[in-house]
Order: sequence, then C-alpha cells, then structure tokens
Amino acid sequence: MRRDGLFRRLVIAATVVWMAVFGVVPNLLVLGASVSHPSPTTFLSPGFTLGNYALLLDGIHAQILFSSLKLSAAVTAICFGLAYPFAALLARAGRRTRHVLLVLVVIPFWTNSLVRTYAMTVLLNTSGLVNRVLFALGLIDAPLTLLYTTGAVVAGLVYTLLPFMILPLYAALDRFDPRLEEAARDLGAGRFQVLWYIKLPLVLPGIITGCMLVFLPGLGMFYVADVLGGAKTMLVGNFIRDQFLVTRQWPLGAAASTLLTMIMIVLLLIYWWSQRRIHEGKLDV
Amino acid sequence: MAEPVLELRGVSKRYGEAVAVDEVSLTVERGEFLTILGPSGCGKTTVLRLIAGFEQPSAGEIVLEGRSMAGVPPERRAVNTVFQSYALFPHMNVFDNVAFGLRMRGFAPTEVRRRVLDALRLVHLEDLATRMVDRLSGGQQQRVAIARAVVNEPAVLLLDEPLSALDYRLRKRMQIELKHLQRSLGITFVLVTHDQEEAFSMSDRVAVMNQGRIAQLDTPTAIYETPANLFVARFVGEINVLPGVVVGCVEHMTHVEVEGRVIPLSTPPGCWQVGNKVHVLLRPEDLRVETLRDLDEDPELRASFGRVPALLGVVEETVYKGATYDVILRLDSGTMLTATEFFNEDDETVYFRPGDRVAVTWVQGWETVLAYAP
Repeated sequence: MRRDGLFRRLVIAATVVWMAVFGVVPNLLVLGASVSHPSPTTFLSPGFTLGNYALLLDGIHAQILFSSLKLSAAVTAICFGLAYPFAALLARAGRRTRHVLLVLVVIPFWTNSLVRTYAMTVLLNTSGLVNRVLFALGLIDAPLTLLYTTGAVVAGLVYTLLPFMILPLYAALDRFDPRLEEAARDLGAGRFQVLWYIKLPLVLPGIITGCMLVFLPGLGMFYVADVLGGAKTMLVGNFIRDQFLVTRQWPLGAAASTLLTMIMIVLLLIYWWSQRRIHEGKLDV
Repeated sequence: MAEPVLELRGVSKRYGEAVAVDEVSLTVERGEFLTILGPSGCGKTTVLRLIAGFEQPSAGEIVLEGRSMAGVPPERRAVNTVFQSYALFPHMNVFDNVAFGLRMRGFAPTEVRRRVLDALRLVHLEDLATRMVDRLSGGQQQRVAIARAVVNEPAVLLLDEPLSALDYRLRKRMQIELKHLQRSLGITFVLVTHDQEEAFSMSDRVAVMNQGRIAQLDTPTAIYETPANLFVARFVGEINVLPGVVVGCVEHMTHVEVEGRVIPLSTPPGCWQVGNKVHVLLRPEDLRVETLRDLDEDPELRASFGRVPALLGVVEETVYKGATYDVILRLDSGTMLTATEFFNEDDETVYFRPGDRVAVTWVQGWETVLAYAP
C-alpha cells in the first residue's frame, strides 16, 4: 500500500511538473510578451502596455482577425453539417459496420497532415484531378482556378479537421438513449420539442467539444493556408507566425496568440456550463 | 354497458416474415386493470407499443375513447407509458421530469406546479422534488416514472414490466401501491408482465399471450382454475396433466379413463362424446394424498377419502417450500405427479417419505378437462 501511494504521488508529480514546464510557463511567457513593448533590436523590451492588443484590434489587423474568425466559423459549420449525419449513422449502426466506419475516420491520421495538405494541391491545381474530371464530363470548357483560393483553404481545413468533429459527436450520440425520445413523445412532445428539450441538451457537450476541436485549429493551422491559399495571410495562425518569424514583432504576435487562448477559455466555459446544466439541472419550482 | 375506453380490433404486427402480434382483439373497460401476461417474445410489449403509438399495426384497428388511432402519433394519444427502464430525463430534476408532459401541453406555470406537487405527494416523493433523477434509488425512480405518467391524467396508463428491476420485497410493496393508486385515481391500467403472481395480484382481468395471440382473456381466478388450453394451464403455476379417454357421458357426468381407472368427472353436458381423447388437469394443491398404510389402518380416513377411485403410486421425493412442501410421486403407470401439502398444525415435519405407497385423489369438480393436444 505504501509503495502504491508513493508511485501514485510520483506519477502525479511528474505530470504536474511536465504541465508546469511545458504548459503554464510558456503560456505565461507569451502573456508577458503580449504586454511588453516592441523593440526592433531585441524583439521586445520589458514593460507593461496594452498597446499590442489595441494594435491587434485596429485596421488591417482587425480585418485579418475578423476574416479568420469568419473562415473558421464557416469551416466549423461545414464540419458540423457533414459530421452530424455521419455520427448519427455511426451511433445507430451495428457493431461491425461501426468498427469499419470508425477505422475509416481514423485512417487519415496515419499520414502527416502537412503531406495530406500537399496532396490536395494535386487534386486542385489547373491540371489536377478535379479539373480533368469536370472537363471530361463536359461540365467546363476551361480549367477552373481552384488552388490558392479561400475555397481551397476551407476545403483543406474541413478535410483535416472533420474527424475531430465526428468523434465527439459520435461519443455523445452513442451515449444518448433513444428511449428518452420515445418517453418525451409519449408525454406529448412533438419532433421539434423532443429535439430541443431532450436531445439537444444531452448531446450539447459533444457538439461544443467538436466545435472547439475544429474552431481553434481552424484559426491557427497556418500551413494549410500557406499550401492551399497561396501567399495571402488568411488565418490568425499565419499572422502570428509572420509576427514572430518575418516582421519580428513578438509582442503583437504574442497578443494575437493570447487572444486565441482567451477564445478557447470562453469555449471551455460554455462547455462547462452545458455539462453543469445536465448534471445539476435547473430548479424551476 | 358504457363505451370501452380502449379497443383492439384484429390488430396484427408483422416485421417482414415474422409475426409479432397476430390478430389480437380485446376490449378494456374504463377504470379496469388489465394485465397482458406472457413469456418473453410473445408479443406483449409490442401490443403496448402499438397502443402507445410507437409502432403502427400492419392490420386491424386500435380505438381509444371511440376514436381510431390510425396514423395518430404518440404525442397526440391520451395514453402515457411507464417504461421498463423508466426512461427518466437525466438532465432534469424530479419536478421537471414530472412537469414535462404538462408543459408540453401548455399548462400555466401555477397549474403545472400544483399538479406536479399533487402527483409527487401521491407517490410520496414531495420532499425530493429538486433532486436530480440519477441520485434516486431504483424504487424512487420507479415512483417518478409513475408520477410523470399519471400527472397527465391519461385515458389509459400503459405499464411495461414496471416492477421487473426492483428487488422482491420492493416489488411486492409496489404491487399493492400500484393497485391502490389505480383504484383511487380511477385510471385504466394496461400492464405487461411475465410474472403470473404480479398479474394475478393486481389485475381485474388477465390476457395470457402466446406466440402473438391471446391464449385466454379472463379474470385471474378463471385463468388459474379453468385454463382454456394447455399453454395457459402450464404458464400460470404448476399443473399436473393426465391423458385420458372419455368412456361414458350422462348429462353432467362424464366418465373418463385415466391411468387405467374410470373416474367420474363433472363437465357441462354435451361437451364430450365417448371415445374423445382428453387431458385432465389438476393443480398440485388440489390433490389429496394418503399412504396406503394409513388408509388400511383408519376406516374413518378411508371413508372421508372420497368417492373418486384413487390413483396409486409411490413417493419419489419431497421438496420443502417453507409454508408448504411438494410431494413428487410416480404413479404405477410411470406418470409423474406433483402434489402440494400443507403442514399440519400439530406436526411440522414432512409426513411423506420416499418409497411410501400412496393413493391420490381429488375433489370431484376441481379438475379441468381439455381436448387432447399433443
């Protein structure tokens, strides 16, 4: 028993140290950098200013931020639209079908996502597979410009992030007891009311998890925008990368990075709220 | 007689080739407690799901309060269900679970509150209104499920094996409570169960189902005492089945040759003709067993033993049951019989010993005679 306790404490301690060194400390450094003054020679000079955040919400930067949020929201919406029917099918399928489908969802992870993104250029360029098929079918006379468009970036992000939406949705729908739908209808609820009062609240944590896992990378996966979107700065991720590696404005990059963290915290709060609603319920007496 | 609250007219349900429910017709009177009793897979739950509207019949018609339910979805039927698994909403507390049906029907909040609290009082859960349902015991969840259904004052309350998840003692108590609840509310109950004791102790009438059909629909007493066929006879309690042949019919008296003896049985006139093959059915507790030794030694006992010529056999073993014990005996023909004996007030030991030569008889009229079926 004694050794067992020691082992457990060691494991916990190791995890805590790991999280502190590689999680908390870097985040604090980024937070610190985001309120430092920019410096052309030393990357940043210590101090306290909210100027970086003000700069972030100003003019061209705000535009990048806003269009990236919009793009990622669109990616999240498309992923949800594609993933929900598939996850519902998965949750209802027999054991064997379910295993096969789940393996199909996981297979793309066997290849590095950067490689898969490059593979998409082969499909999308002017002499690529998509154009050749459309041409052969007589649907187009001249090749379409597919690569280096916003559409290509959206397609690439959806392709890369779809499994992250499918898996939590599947987990939530699989846990959902379909007999509750019958019970609700038995008590007089129509199809819409069943969805709104019974199914949605119980599946909501899965939906939020999926959206979180898609929306945040959708802001940050700069290499997808680089490979499929050309030289345009489309995502907050590209912007941050550029601040650190190209224009060397570390404080501004750190501020953008902190902003992403804050968006994540907000999403986590929403998730926590939806969970709490399930487990504590609302008192309506 | 008043209009029946619920009527099934030749209702069938087929899934491809398989027939789950086969031309079931039954009528449920207002305020009645009807139980559908049958082994698993007999189609009893499907009947309930057809009434609730979760399934549509392949043929036939369901009429609720004079209205055909064809094409009417579950949410617009005046029936509510207590599910076997309870199916309580896990993200709501007790109050919200019970209030759900009323809210769906648009009752004002004050009215919802009044009715829900009334319903909770009815099932003794008024103190747990704000408790989440996953923090309730099985028995309490059961009560929530009942309150959630009865609060809507349905024309018919459907109960799908509602007590099967409870332990024996709690199940006994809930049987009595359910019966009281049904009487005091005056709501029509249709209950599905595979437990004959449960069916008998609560119901006004019992429909015994087998392979999608109703094998017999009658009062518990009639079903137990005069089963309509061998399936019902064997399904509700233990029974001894003796093959026989009718050898004589005179008015109310039929002489049947059973186990090599001709025994007079009282049956309705015109039922049987000489030569008919029959089954004579006897409940173990209706059999009277005495040892030949006692009968020889005691003329008084012999005199009281009855007019029916006794069947002779030997005791194989006795099985202690607590308040009673079963005597398993082998007749001289080789047929096995089970007789249930009560302990005497002055003698609490098992009287019969394996190897005892015994005579078996019964009170004439307590037997049931059915046409022979292989």
